[in-house]
Amino acid sequence: MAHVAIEFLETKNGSTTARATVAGGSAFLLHSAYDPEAEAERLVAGYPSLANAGGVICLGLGLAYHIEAMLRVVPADTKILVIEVNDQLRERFAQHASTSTQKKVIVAKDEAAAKGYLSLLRERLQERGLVIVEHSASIRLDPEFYEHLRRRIRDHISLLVVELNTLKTVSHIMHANNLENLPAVIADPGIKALKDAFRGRPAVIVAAGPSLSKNIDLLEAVKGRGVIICVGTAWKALLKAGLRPDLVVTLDATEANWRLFAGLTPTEEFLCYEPQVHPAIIPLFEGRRFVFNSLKSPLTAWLRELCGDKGYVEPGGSVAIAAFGIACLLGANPIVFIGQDLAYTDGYTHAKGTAYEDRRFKPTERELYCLEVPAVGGGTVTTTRNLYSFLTRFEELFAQEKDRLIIDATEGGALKRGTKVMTLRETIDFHFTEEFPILPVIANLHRKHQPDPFLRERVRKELDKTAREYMRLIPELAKVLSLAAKAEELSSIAERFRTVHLVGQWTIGSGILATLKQKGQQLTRQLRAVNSEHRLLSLLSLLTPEVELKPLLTEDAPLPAQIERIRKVYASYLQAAKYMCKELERTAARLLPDGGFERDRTLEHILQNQVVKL
Amino acid sequence: MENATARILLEELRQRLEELIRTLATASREVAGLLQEGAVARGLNGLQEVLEAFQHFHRGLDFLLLADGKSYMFLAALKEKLEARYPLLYEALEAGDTVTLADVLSYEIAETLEDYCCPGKVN
Repeated sequence: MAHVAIEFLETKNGSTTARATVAGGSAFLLHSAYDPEAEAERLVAGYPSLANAGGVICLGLGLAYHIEAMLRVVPADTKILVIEVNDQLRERFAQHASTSTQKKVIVAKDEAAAKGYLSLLRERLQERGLVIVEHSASIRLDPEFYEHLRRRIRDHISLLVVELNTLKTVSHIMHANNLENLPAVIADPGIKALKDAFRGRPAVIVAAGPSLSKNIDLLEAVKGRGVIICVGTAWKALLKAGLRPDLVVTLDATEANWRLFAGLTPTEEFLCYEPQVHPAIIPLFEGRRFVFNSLKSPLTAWLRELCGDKGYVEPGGSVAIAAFGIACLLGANPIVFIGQDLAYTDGYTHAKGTAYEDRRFKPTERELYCLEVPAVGGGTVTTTRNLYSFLTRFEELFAQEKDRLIIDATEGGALKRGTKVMTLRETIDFHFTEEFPILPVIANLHRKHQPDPFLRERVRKELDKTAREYMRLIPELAKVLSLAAKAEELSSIAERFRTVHLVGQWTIGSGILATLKQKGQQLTRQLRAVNSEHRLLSLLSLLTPEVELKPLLTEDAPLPAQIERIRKVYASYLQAAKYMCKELERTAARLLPDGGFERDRTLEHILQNQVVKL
Repeated sequence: MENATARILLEELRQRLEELIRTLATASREVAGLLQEGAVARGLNGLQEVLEAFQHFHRGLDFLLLADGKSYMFLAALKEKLEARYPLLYEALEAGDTVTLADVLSYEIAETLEDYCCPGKVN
């Protein structure tokens, strides 16, 4: 940031304003020299949504008049994040702001704080929204910084929206799949078995974007000269082109993903799968599979701990991002992308030969979901919010791989920072010049995997033990809910009496509520105690993402609201506990030595179990 | 032009100018409000329109004062007060200081105009 001198001046109404002088001598005020408080009220009045905001990010602190004005408007539980680039102003706030203001305001100087703030509050932001307030005079202190910050906030929001939507849509399926696939995960080698297996060798990641049709025919020249890693969606297109990849990567939990594999038969290629993947895919690659972990949910963390580390690949919501992580883990250099448009090149969503080859971009969706980004070869290209979040994630990951050459040989689509743009022809001529063994190396490392003979039984016992813990909680949770129902009934009687002035306020409801809250709190403590051993609380919270572990409301909240919260939270716990108890018991049974797993693992069984009804 | 006719026309012009004074006061406050709300681009567009309106106002005022300065001394006083404030406005505009622009429009120019058309008004 260029040097800025800040000078403090008295205003006509006896307050203080600040004058900033930037490089070049240009000077401007940060607040009114007459009435900065009234000016701040005016700014805040322009953001009516502040009244219900789940979070507020303010660009520019100044002397915080607008922050004080915002605090008078935002809900009591909303904290405001202020990003201020100027040290002097941040220090002044720390010295002069009241303790109560400082408790409700986080002042930071960079985007990392915004990222943390958005991640921390993501459920609340989804429920009540985020408001971004710009203090335009402060932004003049460093317009470039704030422009970058705006872009980064937008990127983080895009990522969060994608993550939350994915979680909402498929969270139950993901959980079911994680348990369904557990026997395979226990038995299969992890992707870490391939660590550095191809250090310094080239690899190509084949994605299924529309530009794959332009250069898929050249890929044959890569076979045996570089590791071919394809995403599940592109596998069919490769097979149609008469080419077998070395590794096929898949992570999507949905049935739509299974349809990409249905009817195809692997011969030499190996599967790299995330444990959440649709369970029907796994048996297709019997004896030719590697597991990788890419999710960080409490359930997956717990199962990962039980099964041992299989190799972790940075997540990003896209299978191509996982493929990139795998290429890095192999030690590949350079890593070449093809078919990675991350945009609707020529109006198509996918390449020819894929299951989605006929899908066209619908212009009616443009306004809501699309944006224009710089394109390979100049100009711009249309992309979606989802694809844009992947682009952002890729660019973050590329920035971490400074010593690796990353080539974008897509020959179309979105321009990706951190890549060298080349045609596939040029890339092959320059980098894929030498033959080396690929499949034999992979097969050999797969063969070397020695599964722990006792692991299956250890995991089974742990699942069984955890299921019993859930079982013990179920009657306790039911008791709290029954008590809550009684409290609700009494509260409604009390309300009727109150309205005809027969009894004092809430007399009847208060007694039962106190008992109810006491019971609820006891149970929460019990849950926490159990959780410290078995992470049950995390598991419960994961299965009830729409409720989360919301705290009970405080004494001063209206009685019906307190009861409603208790009912909602504990009903979710009860539902989740019953579900987990059943699922853990079933999974544990499949791990028994008599081969329950093999017996019931028919395709119909797997597909039937995809519909998880809680 | 006969004197009586000229007088009528000058009075008509004065009335028009006084109407314009009220409009300019309101417009100045609106532009200041936009700048204070952070709607800087809209505020600056509005400012351009206000400045053009001020130019028309001054052309009319100059004509009136030239025709009969003695009768319209009170308008000459307003002209003087306004002209003393324009340099502040142009200086802020040049520095891109939207805070000062809003201050000058709201607390200097609008107040001066309102003092003329609604003396004693408390803002």
